[in-house]
Amino acid sequence: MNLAILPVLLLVAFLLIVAIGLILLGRIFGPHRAGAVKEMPYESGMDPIHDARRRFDIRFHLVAIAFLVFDVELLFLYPWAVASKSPAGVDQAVVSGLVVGRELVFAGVLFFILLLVLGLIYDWRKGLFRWR
Amino acid sequence: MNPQVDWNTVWLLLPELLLVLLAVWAYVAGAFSHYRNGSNAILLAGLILGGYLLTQQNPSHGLWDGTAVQGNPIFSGPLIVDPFGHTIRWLVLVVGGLMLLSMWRAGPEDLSTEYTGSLFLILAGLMIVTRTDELVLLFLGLELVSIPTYIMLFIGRQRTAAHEATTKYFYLGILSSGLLLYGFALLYGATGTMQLREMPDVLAISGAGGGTLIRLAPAALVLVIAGLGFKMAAVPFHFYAPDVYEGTTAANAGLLSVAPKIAGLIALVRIMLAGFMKPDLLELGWQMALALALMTMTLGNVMALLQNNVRRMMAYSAISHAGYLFIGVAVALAVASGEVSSANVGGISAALFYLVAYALATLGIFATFVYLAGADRELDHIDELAGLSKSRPMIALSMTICLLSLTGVPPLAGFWGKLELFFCALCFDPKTVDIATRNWFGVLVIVGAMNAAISAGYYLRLVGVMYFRPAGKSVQPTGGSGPMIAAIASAVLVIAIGMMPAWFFERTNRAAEPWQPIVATTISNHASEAR
Amino acid sequence: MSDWTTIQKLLVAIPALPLVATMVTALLGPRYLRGKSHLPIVFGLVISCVLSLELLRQLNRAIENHETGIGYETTVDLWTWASVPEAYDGSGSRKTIGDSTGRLITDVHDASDSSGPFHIAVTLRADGLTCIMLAMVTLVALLIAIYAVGYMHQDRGCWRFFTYIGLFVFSMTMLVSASNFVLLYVFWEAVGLCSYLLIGFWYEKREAAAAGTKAFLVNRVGDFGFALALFFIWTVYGTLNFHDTQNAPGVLGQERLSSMQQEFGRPGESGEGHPRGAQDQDVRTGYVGGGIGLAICLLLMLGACGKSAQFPLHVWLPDAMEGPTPVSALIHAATMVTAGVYMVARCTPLFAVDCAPYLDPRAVVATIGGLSALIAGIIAMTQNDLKRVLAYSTISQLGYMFLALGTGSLVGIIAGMFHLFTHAFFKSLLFLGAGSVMHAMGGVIDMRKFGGLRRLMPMTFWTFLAGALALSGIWPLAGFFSKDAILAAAYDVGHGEAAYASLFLWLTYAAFLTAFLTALYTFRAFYMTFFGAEEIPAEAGHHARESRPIMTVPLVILALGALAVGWIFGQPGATKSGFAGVAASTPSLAVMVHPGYRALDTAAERKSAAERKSAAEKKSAAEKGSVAEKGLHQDSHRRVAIISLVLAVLGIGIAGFLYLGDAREVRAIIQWPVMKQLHRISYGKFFFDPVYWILVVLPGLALASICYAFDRWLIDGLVNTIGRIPSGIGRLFRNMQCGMLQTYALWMLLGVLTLLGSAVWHMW
Repeated sequence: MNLAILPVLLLVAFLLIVAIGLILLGRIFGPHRAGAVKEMPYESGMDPIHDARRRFDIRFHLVAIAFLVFDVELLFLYPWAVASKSPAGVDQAVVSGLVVGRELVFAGVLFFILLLVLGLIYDWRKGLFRWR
Repeated sequence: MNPQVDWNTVWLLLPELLLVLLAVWAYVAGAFSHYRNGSNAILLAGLILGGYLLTQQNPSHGLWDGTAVQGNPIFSGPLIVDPFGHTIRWLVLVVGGLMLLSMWRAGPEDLSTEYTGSLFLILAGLMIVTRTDELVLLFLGLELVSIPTYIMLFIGRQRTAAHEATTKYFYLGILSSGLLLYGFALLYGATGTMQLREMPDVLAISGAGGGTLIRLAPAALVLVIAGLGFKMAAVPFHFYAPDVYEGTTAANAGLLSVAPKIAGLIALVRIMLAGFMKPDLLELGWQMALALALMTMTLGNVMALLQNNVRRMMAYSAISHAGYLFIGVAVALAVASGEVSSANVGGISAALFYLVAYALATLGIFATFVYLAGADRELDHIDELAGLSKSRPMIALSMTICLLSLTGVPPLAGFWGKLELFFCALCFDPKTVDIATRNWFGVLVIVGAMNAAISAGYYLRLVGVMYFRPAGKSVQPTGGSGPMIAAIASAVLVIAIGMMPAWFFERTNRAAEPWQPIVATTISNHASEAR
Repeated sequence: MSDWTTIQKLLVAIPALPLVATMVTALLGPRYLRGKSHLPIVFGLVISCVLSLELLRQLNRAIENHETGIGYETTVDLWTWASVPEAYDGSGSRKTIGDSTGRLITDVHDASDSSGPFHIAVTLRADGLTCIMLAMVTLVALLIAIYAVGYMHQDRGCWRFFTYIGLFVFSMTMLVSASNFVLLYVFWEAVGLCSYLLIGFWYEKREAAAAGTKAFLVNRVGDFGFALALFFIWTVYGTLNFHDTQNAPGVLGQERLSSMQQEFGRPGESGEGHPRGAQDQDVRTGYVGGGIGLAICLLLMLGACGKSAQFPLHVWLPDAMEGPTPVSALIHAATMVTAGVYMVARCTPLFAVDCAPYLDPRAVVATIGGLSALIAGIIAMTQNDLKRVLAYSTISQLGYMFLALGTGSLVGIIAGMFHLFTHAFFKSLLFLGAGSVMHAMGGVIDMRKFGGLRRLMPMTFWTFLAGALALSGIWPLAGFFSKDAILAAAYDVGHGEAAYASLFLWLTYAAFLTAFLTALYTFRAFYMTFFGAEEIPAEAGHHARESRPIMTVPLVILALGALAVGWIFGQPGATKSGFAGVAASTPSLAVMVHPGYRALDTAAERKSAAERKSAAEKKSAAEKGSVAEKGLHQDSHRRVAIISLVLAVLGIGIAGFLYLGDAREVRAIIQWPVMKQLHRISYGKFFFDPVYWILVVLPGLALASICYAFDRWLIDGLVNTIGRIPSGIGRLFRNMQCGMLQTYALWMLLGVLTLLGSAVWHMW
């Protein structure tokens, strides 16, 4: 057995245990109040299986899109954060001639964040964060 | 391996960055104020500033000041800097200006800046497409054209038909993007590089470097043509066009008939003539392009004959002109594949000229429709144009000029475009020609000429309605002066190109220089003589 | 432009002014000028007329300064209209023609200069013929335009009328000053167009519209011949310039023709008039005779017949009287109809070629002329429409002119042109008089419906009388001198030794008879209109009075002309600067004074070249002398003059006997068997119209309906079927566009799969 992937396997096992364990704990110790609403998979949201023509609030979509934006932000910023620290990251790129210097990468990230901030201002002004 | 990304790359991207910043500014400012005229004026000023930046980026090529030097393109990061891209950027700016004018009052009041901001994102996307040498950036550029288009389609007009149109375009657009992306993926798989210019080397050592995956290249080719064919509205990827054009507003239809077409043609040229530079692939490529050209021209024109809705008719018109553009592509690919050698101008130059002529005339017509439509209704039936020559002689004249140009009546721009396309498809060097290939191109030209005749059937029908039909219920033009200026400016440009085609041929020739078999000035000379 | 001579400036200004006036009227007339539309035209014509007279004076001086030459001309080159280098393949075409059909008299060309350019320059020329025509046209046009101000003042289409008139004067002046056949043809058609427009001026009237169409169509026949003649001339000579416009030493010599090949189209480089020298050149050198020469002449004559309303194409002119009367006077009496005469006179050198063994073209011209004169004279006897009587009279007089041209002698041709000149005065006078009557009678022109107008309209009466006397040829009025000169010229040929002498003898008799008839029908009309009991038709209403001064003043001026022009210009002893001198200075006519000129007496002349030359020299010297010193009216022709005068007086007298009073003599005479038949023929106008209807119009209509059916059913059907194909294909594909998103996606994927399949098939 290759020990190199052992941490990964352990992580998977841990996740499985936590997930199943939490569900089990709730089943065992939680109060049981049966009802149509309570039987739904997502109690606070909507029935995932229903007639396609049912109306639901468009604001769910707006929030979801706003969330998506910041989700993508994370997608870009996290690798950059790792690469800027790692010797095999930005420094290596500069050495091998891909980029002229760290400053340019940093400027790019700042520009990206600027766009995100502008997007946040836009969302805010448009009343995205006001539910009513 | 990418060339270095340095501050020069940023400098080269400045016009694109400017457009993106303007778009973002429009979005954010629109959230604070709905003052449409001010926002539009600043955007227009931004376009002019972009034009100034373009002149500043010019010196290394001297394309526009007449001191052109034959030189290899410059690579900077994922960018390729060559006359081709530069020329297209000018086209994009001009087209953008005309579109901004014709969209001056488009969209609902509270979303107007979102509307124009999206337009600027599209323009930025077009510019990026023209200048990229890398698959990822190319795809991003194309998506930057597509996604704002979805937004614009949606906010153009609040009505059921518009929503249906948006949905159709959205889903089919996603599908085509998926096809394109799949093609890109296969291409990367086959070549192992994202850089278009490195691909031919890999493809040339077939079987060795790329292994068996290299056999996926033809499939990649097909998928790329399919994905870009959708953008250009080529048969059989054209189905969305009539429904979408009919459902959406005239301004959006104008956008759809121009912006994706530019993007598709440019991307096709970039990929095919840089990435797929391998004789057998190019042979497959020109055969497909030829087949698409034949089908697209014919189907577009014959279907347009049957239409009574002006936008639907123009949709088929747009389809048929995509077919003409494919003539130029097919010639360029055939010449590049080495089966024939051209004795004349290359197909790219011809297609580029045709694209310019088409874009201007089409924008002129749609601007007219915008002008004639109101804030709450669209111009739908052809008969609504009746008597326009009496009530609005100027606008009727400018629209007639644009229609005649699309028909290919001399001495307007469209005539020279068609002439050069047919020229380039006929004037192969007889010494090196493959007879079968030449015959196929002969057939292509004959079909093209017949289609030009058919197209006269519906273009002149519009002219006839405007001039010879007494006005029924008179159309109240409420589009404002912006669309009117755009319409008349388009007509003037169409005439200007028609009057001095040599000047434009010179520039398209130089733009297509890398793919020009012989940098021939033959047709320019013809043109200047004829003039 | 600044280095133009006075003559050249005048020459350009004369047509330019009517053109400018026309444009002004056409642009401003309908909206601003309206009733005042005559102002620009009359103004332009006044200046044009003055300039024409000045041009005539200048030309006279120039002729006198060029004593030595035998002809004088000046050209002005405006611009090049068409230029095709190496268009004329002289070697091939000439050889063929020369060998097979025609008789190429001299082999002018060697291979090296056998090809020439096709070069048509817009070049105007001034010579005797042109200047006389210009003066006549502008003067008559001016007077008639002034008259028309009164005549047309109530008409709604006043501006249209004056625009057409201006356009006509421009075209006519260009026609007579053009220097090549192409320009001549262009303006030949232009005057035809104006004629058409003006005949059909009152297009609401069915008859007027039909008459316009008839005139146009009949003229097409003639123009077709004219066009063919031009093609022949180009094929044979390689040039379409008039053959005397070249700036080359010989008049018509070999050097000239070869230089024509090289310098063709650049006439008069110096721009200055130049004498014609080198009299010992052989005149006939370079002209093609034989069948080809004859064909050219006959085709030209066909064109002239159409324009000048000669037998057998004369049928349009009487119907053309449907147009406004000033138009009848200007276009259909004085100017346009004489274009054919002018053209034949201009082409004299072509008509003078030796066409042996075929007919002599001049005999044809003379025969047509004589026949037309007689036939028209007979028809005019029985017409009741005053304007139609005058129309037939015009045909008859034009016939005289062609008869004169057909004699082929300088005296004859000048006599013909002189008759053209005098005829313009008295015939336009008569027409305007008739118009005045018609105006007063409320549009009625049937002579049976009015009468005894001499007290009501005294001015019209007296001026009409002057015109009638001049037309009848009473000494010393204009018609006497010119008609007498024609009769004398024909008489001379008839009594000469020419091959066609007997023909000309008969033609002379016909001409005498016509002179008698002329007096008879003219005074018949005169008596019927102005004598007898005063009778006014109901249509006249309150109009029935003498016309306004603006109409009578031109009448008086023209009457003075009819009285005097013959006396002034036709007198014996007139010098070189008189009519004969000016006309004879025209290069194409001056050729005839040249020793090499071939007169009509071919029998004597065919003996040998040397003999011919000496004989001709003698003859031409005599002729030149006679023309220059004695003018047209020669003592030896006193006999002719007396006969014609007696005939004219006789005609007037008989007319008075028959038509003064209640005309019961006429009713008695037409009961005589012979006269009954003659009357029937004459009244039926020799039945030209019904015969043409059966022979030409009906077959044409039949062919047209066949063609129409062919076009309607077969061609249209075919075209429509082809036109339906594209939309049919479209219909086939229509169902694919079903509007369903899923289906679209499916089609797209099917497309991708097809392409993939083809790629697989292609690559593996």
